[in-house]
Amino acid sequence: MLIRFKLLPVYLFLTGGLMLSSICLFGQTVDYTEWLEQVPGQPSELDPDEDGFPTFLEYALGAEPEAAVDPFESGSSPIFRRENQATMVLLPFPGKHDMIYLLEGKASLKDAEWIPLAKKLGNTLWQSVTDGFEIVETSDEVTLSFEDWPSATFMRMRVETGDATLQRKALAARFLKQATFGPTMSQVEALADDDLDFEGWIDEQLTLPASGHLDHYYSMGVENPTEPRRFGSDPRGNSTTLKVTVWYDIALLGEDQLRQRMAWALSQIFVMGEAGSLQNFYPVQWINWYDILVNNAFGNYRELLHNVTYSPKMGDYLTYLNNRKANGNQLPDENYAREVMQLFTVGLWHLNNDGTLKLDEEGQPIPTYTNYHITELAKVFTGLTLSPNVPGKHHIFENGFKNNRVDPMIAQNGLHDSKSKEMLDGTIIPSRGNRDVNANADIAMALDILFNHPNTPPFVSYRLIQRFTSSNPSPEYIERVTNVFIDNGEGERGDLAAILKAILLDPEARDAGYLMEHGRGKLREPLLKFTQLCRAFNLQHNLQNPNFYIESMADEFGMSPYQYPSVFNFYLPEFSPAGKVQDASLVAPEFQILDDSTGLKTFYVFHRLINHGLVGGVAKGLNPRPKLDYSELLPLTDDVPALIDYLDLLLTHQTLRDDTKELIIESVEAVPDLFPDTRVKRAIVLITISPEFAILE
Amino acid sequence: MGEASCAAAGSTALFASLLNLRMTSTAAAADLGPEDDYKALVCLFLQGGNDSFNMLAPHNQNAYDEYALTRDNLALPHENLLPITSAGQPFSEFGIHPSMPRLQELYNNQDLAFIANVGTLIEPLIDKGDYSRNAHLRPSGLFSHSDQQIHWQTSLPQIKGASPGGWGGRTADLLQSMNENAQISMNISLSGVNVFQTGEDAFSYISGLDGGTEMIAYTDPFEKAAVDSLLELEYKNLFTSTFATNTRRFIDSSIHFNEVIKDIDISVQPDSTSRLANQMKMVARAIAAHEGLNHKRQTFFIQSGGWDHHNEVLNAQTVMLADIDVAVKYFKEAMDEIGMSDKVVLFTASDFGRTLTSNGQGSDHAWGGNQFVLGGPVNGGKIFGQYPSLALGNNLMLDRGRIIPTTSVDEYGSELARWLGVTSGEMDTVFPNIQNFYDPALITHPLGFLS
Repeated sequence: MLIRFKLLPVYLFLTGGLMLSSICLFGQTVDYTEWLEQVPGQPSELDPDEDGFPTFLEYALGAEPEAAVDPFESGSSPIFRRENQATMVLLPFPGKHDMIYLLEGKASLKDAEWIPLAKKLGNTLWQSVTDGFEIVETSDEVTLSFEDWPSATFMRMRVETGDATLQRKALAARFLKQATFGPTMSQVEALADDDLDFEGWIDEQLTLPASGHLDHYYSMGVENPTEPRRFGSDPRGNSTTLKVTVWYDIALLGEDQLRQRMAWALSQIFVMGEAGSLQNFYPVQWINWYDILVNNAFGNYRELLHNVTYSPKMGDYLTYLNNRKANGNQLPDENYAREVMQLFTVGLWHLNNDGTLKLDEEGQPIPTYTNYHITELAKVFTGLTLSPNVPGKHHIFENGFKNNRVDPMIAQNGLHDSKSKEMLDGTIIPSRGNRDVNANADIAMALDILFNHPNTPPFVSYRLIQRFTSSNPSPEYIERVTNVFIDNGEGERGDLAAILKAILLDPEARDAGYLMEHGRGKLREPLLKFTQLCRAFNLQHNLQNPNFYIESMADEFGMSPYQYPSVFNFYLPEFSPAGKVQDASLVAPEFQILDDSTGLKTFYVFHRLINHGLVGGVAKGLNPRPKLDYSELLPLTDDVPALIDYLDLLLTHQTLRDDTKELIIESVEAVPDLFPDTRVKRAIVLITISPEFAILE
Repeated sequence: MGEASCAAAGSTALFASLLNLRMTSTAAAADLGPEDDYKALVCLFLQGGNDSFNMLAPHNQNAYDEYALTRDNLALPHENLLPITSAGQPFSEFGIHPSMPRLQELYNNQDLAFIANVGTLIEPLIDKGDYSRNAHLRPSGLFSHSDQQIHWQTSLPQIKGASPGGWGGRTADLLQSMNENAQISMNISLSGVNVFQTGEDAFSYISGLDGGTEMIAYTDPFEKAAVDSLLELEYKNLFTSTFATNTRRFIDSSIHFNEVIKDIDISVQPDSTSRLANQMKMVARAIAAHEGLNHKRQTFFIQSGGWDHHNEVLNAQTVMLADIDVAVKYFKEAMDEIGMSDKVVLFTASDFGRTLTSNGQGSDHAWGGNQFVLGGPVNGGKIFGQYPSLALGNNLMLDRGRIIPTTSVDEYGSELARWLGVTSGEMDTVFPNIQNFYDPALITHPLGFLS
């Protein structure tokens, strides 16, 4: 039953039979059974044709049913071949969807444990599960390279049956947690059935039309929509709650999930928030700003930079609207000049493409610019002023003063500083004669230089990766995304759709290494945990509540749309909480908003939502309030372990530990089965408190 | 001592360092003072960079004229400034911002002092020539908010980021052994997690305006039992494990904190519209509750946001400094009521001062700025440090009226830390750059406001 290849100096074992006796057949699918029924004569689990491949293994390796009784046929057996010192080759084979294939290694046969090296779920690609073990799969061959062959001197492939489908669903759920505001079970199943075609899913998302926030706002039937809204008895509330309503309606119900997630991520780089802003009572201005991020989410970074720079809201926020050339002691405002470099493009320190700091001869980091460059760049951002009023598009004051904070700002060259300006890289934006002053041309040149600066790709890539998949991407991961930022494959720099795809499809985001390495993943934003609950249990509008009037959660979550505490977002990219994360020299930005207050208020909000729906403390509105829909779960309440398995898949992509599940099952079973609704609610409440729900591994 | 390590997993670190200090520092134990010895330090951080040369301006006519010339449309009218006098400066007449009459009164009653031109420094920089010759002595990310906020709190401006922790946290690392049986941190924040109170072992306890938040799931005994059990498990993933540890600590701390403070009230009421004054009230309650909390030393952190006045600096300061004025006065009244005025010192900090020159509508990021300290132990009625010349082009002035600080955060902070109980031998643990400014073995009070 043991096939042994002698390939000096590495011994390989290919076992299937060894495992046969211990195969767990709990979830054996119909498909294997059906196949077995087609085997001529007496089907057997053993090896009727005595060819060394047990029947089960012949199925798993893709043989026809006849092969089980034909000693000369054993499917396309996965033969290993040694290529060179560091590389081995395995013939590819189409996996069976109800099988899980595992490659494992041992340094010596005396070792007790086999070390998992790679894993293949059904007909998906092989995935490395250990550091340094790389797998490149083509249609002809699967190349395995490993830095540490001695620890896999002996290697085997093992086949397990039963839960490949479930595991595929878990991987689908994990991906959708990274890429959307939360998966529904039908989306999880569709993606799993589609053989985890993540790229296909992304491509489809890229083609969906954008859900415009301003369009949605106008569709809500708000009276005098361009007028200021302060406070009142209308459940739709003031300006803050109105734009938050628009935001939640789209985040929870929009089809274009990936675009909206990207806009949300971009809003945490191009931060423009109510604190320190003007005209907070005019929803149209704010919602229109957010649409810049939505509309450019799959566009080009340079274009986005332009649109942000010309936004009158950003002009207000970073105080360069009506910024004017020097006049005696009064010098141009430096705010935007500083932040566009520090936060939107190059950052403070010179970076390598892999995001690590460049160092000078003394081992010190090298600043990208000095205060002199800020003073110089400040001159560039002079002469921008509001567009003329457009009646009906925004609020116009009685005195007729310009107040168009919707359309892009326009140049008023008379206020622009026409002297030469030195950029951070030494480029001079030349002075222009009085008749040739051209604010737009100067700004375009400055933005081009910042966009093309070598720092911008790794600086922005790192921040985007942190928002989707990992707080601590490896330098290799950052570099792979950086390379796509530099060139999308067609010569375009800054293609955000390609960058996002690179982030989500990167091996480090997709492989199963997270099961082995304890510093992978990230703490999830509390807001995304909230949206996940709403979407998982199909929260919908109702007659009395044609929108979601969800409150600002700034106090409860430490974050809320439009309520960034400062231009530095809700948290800093380099924040590291005291304890094991800091001891391991890792960062975890989202821990910055997790404290004695938010850490417990978040559970309060979840508790209300799960038990009562969008009631006070979570949302405004009229009774009856929208509620989470548990109809899919109620049939499972008689079988609590099944209920918990279902929730573990949907909410925690099967990361709940067995002992955690046991605890939850025990607590849920304490509720008499006469109260199925209470059982479901308690189960969900406890899962939302579980640390596994908080972390996206 | 056994109790200290019981419920809160987070307190094990605190407990470990406590043991450590006990074993290594018997000398420190001798300094602990009498049983009723209690002190607290309150940090009021004005986030965004207070334009503090309009909070404390020259009133002397010549100096005022220089100020007005430099500040242009940002200058406050001479007649509106609230006059005070100080010894020890190049001239004696100064003016407080017109929105701060209570501060003027506290100053004149010797309860409050100013510290002039403080800022983040690695070593002293004597003039702009020194500055331009020594790029390596400039704080990293000078003039940037995030960096300077962090540097004010770490007092290690040569290091980018918050990794060194804050000087309040390092102070707590040394002093928390005085708080026997404490179940929550001696560092209490009304404004969330912050760098200032984070040390090697020390961290902040976060309180809201009415105390700690309690765990909703505890209202159901079955849910409580499950939560308690699942937070006890060992998690391999570092983030998962940290989340579990922190949640456990949040739950235990709040139960304990609320139990202790629930019967403690302050009868003098803050203005209900001032969030800051209401935060001060919570601080006062926690100070009054120090015995129940088993705290002989406490620090508090309150942050007031929105000071980044590139625009509208004059209008905004009129409102916001008035709020500070009301809140600080309230705090003084609350301390008087509970008899703690002589045991508590409040001090301000802010990212940086702002450019003296105008950008037309406001001022931009700069460096040195003015701060104040309040409390019974303070030598009030005086401006400490050196109030600089505000004439453009002077030796300390960089472009746009950015002033090189003449007093470092180290000097300012170390005098506060020393008062709280850090010994001269420990001072370079709390302020690793301290020897660049003075020798703590020889000088105990570098500025003198707490001598």
